[in-house]
Amino acid sequence: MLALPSDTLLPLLPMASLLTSPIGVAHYLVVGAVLFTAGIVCMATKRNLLGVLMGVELVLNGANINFVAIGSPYLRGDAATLGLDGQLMALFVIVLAAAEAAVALAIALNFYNTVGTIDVDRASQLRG
Amino acid sequence: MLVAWLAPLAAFVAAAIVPTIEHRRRGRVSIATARAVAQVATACSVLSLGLALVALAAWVWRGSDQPPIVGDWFRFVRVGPLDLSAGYCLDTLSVVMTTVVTLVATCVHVYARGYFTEEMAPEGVVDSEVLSGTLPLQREGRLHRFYQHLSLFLFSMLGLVLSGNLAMTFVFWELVGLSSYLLIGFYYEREAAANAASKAMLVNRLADVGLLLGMIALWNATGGLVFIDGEGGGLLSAGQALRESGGANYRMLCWAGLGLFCGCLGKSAQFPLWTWLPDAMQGPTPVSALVHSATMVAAGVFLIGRVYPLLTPEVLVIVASVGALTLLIGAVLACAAADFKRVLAFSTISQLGYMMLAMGLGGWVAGIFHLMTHAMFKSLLFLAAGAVIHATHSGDLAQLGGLRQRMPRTAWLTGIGVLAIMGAGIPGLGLGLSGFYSKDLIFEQAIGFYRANSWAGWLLVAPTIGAALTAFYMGRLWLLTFAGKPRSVAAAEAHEAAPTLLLPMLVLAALAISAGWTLPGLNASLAALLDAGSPAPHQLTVGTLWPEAVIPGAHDHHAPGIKLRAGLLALGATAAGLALVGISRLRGRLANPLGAGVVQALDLRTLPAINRGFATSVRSCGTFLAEAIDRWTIDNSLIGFTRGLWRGGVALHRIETGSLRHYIVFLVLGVVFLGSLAILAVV
Repeated sequence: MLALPSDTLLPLLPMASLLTSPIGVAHYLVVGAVLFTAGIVCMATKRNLLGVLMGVELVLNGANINFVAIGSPYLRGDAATLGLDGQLMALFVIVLAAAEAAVALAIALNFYNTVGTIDVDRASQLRG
Repeated sequence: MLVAWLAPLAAFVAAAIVPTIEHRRRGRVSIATARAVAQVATACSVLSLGLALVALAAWVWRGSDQPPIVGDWFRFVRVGPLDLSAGYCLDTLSVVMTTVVTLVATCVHVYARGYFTEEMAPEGVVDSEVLSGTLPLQREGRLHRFYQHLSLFLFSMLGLVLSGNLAMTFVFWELVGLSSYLLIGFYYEREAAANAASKAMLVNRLADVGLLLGMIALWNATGGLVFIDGEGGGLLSAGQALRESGGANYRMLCWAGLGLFCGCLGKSAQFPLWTWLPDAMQGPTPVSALVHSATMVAAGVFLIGRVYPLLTPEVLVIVASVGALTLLIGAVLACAAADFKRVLAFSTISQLGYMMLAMGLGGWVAGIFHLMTHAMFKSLLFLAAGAVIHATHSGDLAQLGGLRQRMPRTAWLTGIGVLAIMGAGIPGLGLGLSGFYSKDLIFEQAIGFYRANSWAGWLLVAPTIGAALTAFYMGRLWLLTFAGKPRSVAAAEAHEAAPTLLLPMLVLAALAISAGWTLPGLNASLAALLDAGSPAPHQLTVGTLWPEAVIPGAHDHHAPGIKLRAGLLALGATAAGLALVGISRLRGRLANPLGAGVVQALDLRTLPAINRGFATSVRSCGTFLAEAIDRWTIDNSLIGFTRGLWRGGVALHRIETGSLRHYIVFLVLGVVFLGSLAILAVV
């Protein structure tokens, strides 16, 4: 465990208390947010269509972590959770992500066949 | 009383059959068809006349004085709660008007057969007034078309006279306007005729805006447009009650009266809007006799007579003033006019002014009675003008003269008309031609009005001067046409008119003499019949807004002394006019009595100038509206709005980069923006 000068630094960092508190829902949410942001940045910066697709998967998984954490009886206690709903939602998202990946890969394949590349910046034929 | 309603139906059948026949024969309409059409139309007109006479007889037998206004109601269309139904209203006014209209119409139907001989020529008509290239225009005869329009006119005129509510009156009012337009433009190849038709149409539409506004105001004030309904209520009694009580809607009633009068200004060619009538003489002469002297132009007077109980004393004084002004203007212009028909046209304007004046002075009987007698003698004079034009192919007074030897019968019949319009008669005995009785009634009314309103002296002076001028221009007209020596070859070789032309003139001349007489033994006369059915109040009416306007009661002019005084006044004025004619004839100034400059100034300069001034003011008003309101304000606001939309679209178009990665950034930024908004809202 890192020893931090908590008296001086803690008021300055808004989430610094996470470092000292036991693992809870908030930690999972932070991981989900990091994943989500990484996914968004990936989508916005990658020119490769497959890279954009991976960014989408990261965003979806970030959301999944939130679902699982909030729905978990170990983290929040039996009374506070909503039963299996969180996990169920995560399963739905995984299924949807698989379907979406199938469709997106088909688009990518067709796009490659048509244009000869999978650079998304080249997909600008419908620009107004 | 359904018979009277059948009369316009019969005429309408004529108007409907004609196009069918015409349509069946593609291309050219043969002369036989045209003749058949003319016969059908004439037969229907005669049938209408017969029915109208039956209705008149039934009316007299029933007694027109028992119920003051008896209306039979027949409803066959009803639109919602508004009750814009078509119905008829029979009272003394409409029955007598129907008789007069059908009578003159029948005479004109017969007359036109003799008048339009060239329209029936097998090789077509040569219109020497129109050049096609260098030769006179040659066209097919269109007698059938004339009778078609004439039947349409008769139908609409009868509908106007018989209609039972103001909305239906308005519809037929416009229909007579339409048929007048068609008839004026009968020789539509002639530019003057086409222009005159358009002018008549436009001037009348301008006036009808006022009529429409008046109807709306009337609806507002009284809550209905039906003259008299089955329970004895309706527009007239509601308006009368309002006028007598001087209630809250009194002002609205005044506006309504003024609006209706504005419609009559156009139709009856009164002061500011009279200019279309002289131009309307471009139509065939039988049309002038029927439409533009006897019936349609009298519709304005008829409408005033119809809505008489609604008119407040303030409105009546305006009516009288406009009438007095019009009668003077018309009479002066008639003295200067150089064409037979133009003299008659200005004379018609002047006589319509007399009718309006009589109406405005409270003389309902005098006004309507003068309408009747005027219909007789003025259509007689127009038919005589047609006979002269038919014989000499010219209506220019400078080309006529000396026709008394060549056309003695026409000259005699015209002389009867001239004497009738002058109002020739002996005041002491009360014996004279028809115009004598009606003009005397107007003078009695004027004297009675002057006794009640000491400020209104000029309303007595105007008809007196007008009577002198009437005698002058009518004497001048007769002398220039029939007396002296022929001033052209055509006049020297003229032939007496055919019997088909003379017969209707004879009928009208007989009526022009006798229309004012009291039937011996029966003590019945047209004036007495009208008097019994008069809606004019029996007591004095005083204006609420303007207490100086006092309309005398219906019988106040029977006061002792008035009758003889009025007769002497009219006789003196007429004698003065005749003396003037004699003097100017002896001094050889008859052709141009007012001097060349005056004619130039009045007929050629003043009238066009007034026309132009009026048209210019209307047009500048319209231009202002078009430029300032329409083109500048409305158009610019619309253009600015669309331009703003376009520019906004172009600006927004820049962010549509087409790049997927930009869209993702926009998506995120949008979510962040909405999320921060939500957080701010919660906090």
